[in-house]
Amino acid sequence: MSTILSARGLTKVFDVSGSSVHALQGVDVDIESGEFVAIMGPSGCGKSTLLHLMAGMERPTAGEMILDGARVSGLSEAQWAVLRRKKIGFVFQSFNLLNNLSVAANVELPALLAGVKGKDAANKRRELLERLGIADKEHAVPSQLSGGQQQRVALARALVNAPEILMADEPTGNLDSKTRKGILDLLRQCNAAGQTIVLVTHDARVAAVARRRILHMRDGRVTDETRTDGRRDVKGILGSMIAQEA
Amino acid sequence: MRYPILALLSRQPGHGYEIKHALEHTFGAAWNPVNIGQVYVTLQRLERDRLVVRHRVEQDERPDKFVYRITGEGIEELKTWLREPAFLPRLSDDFYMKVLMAQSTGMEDGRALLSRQRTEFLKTLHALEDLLNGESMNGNRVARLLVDAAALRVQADLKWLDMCEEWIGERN
Repeated sequence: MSTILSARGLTKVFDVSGSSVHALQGVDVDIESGEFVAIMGPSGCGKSTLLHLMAGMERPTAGEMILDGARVSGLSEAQWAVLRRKKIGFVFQSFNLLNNLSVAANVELPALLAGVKGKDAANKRRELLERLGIADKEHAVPSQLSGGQQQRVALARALVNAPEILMADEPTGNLDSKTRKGILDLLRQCNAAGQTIVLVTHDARVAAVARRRILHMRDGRVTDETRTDGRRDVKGILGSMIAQEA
Repeated sequence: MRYPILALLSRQPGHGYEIKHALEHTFGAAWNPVNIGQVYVTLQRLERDRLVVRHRVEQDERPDKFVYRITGEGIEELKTWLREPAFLPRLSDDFYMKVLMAQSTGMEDGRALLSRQRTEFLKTLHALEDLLNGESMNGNRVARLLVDAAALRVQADLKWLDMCEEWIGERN
């Protein structure tokens, strides 16, 4: 495996009405190609800020970052916009779909912006919507869809340029448990097909689907790392819930 | 498994293997396979306590089998049990004490202990989620609810670990 993203000493200080808030205090992260990494922690721990910095949606106050072999810390806003389109797919908790565009147009837009030909973008869109089970919704507008369907569209949009890394910020936050399972299944399938994924969540059950690593954050720092490879037999605990002593 | 067996026998009499299969059918992937030895031990104790009675049934070309039938006392026992609210979940796991005593004795690094424990819990949660997402769980609501109950308890323990970490942070 090769390192696809490497960050050193990422620091973010926000100025909130005159006082400094240290959202990130020197975080080091390495993401390997093909990994499924979850970042978890309580609200306000800095996990979303870290994801936004890694996705180039915000600039760090200090720190260095290398994405796909190139130093990206000093890039301008415009350079980042181009890079992000090609290398990063982002799924928001609140979907962030364009409501005046059809599902098809929402998914194709990032491809067209990246210079993909209209026909190729349409083909790619068809393939993705098919894979995500919402091919019949291509003419609908987002407001006509359920939360789970909107999140699938957001996932298709994030994947349309075959990004190096798929990043997701609480992607199941607004969804009921059944729909949540559907989205997590899709993420697992994507990862099984080789897609690198970084997911942020406050929910341990969501983090637990990450195939290799969970980073724990607290007060702007990564305070622990869990490797979740290796299997556990849970028959014992389930059996003990049912088969108590006679 | 005293009460699941009484509950099954309250619907119809059965022999050991029928009870084993009925339990497996009820609890699905959450409890499969059921240990037949444990079924027989439980049936013996239920018989001793006069909650079930055993009848010998002759079979052609096969050894006799024993069919168990619930008694009136058995029905009463089952009803009483169903009506009683369950007591507190068993909080006997020694990890609570380990975490607290590691800190008070200073003999083990509290943060390292929390980290190891967190790994255990997350691997367990991971396995439970795998079970929930597996095909063996399809359509069995009883099994799903049990796995959900287990997962929620593990989540509660993970939250408790976070609180311990905060506590250790304040002390150092």
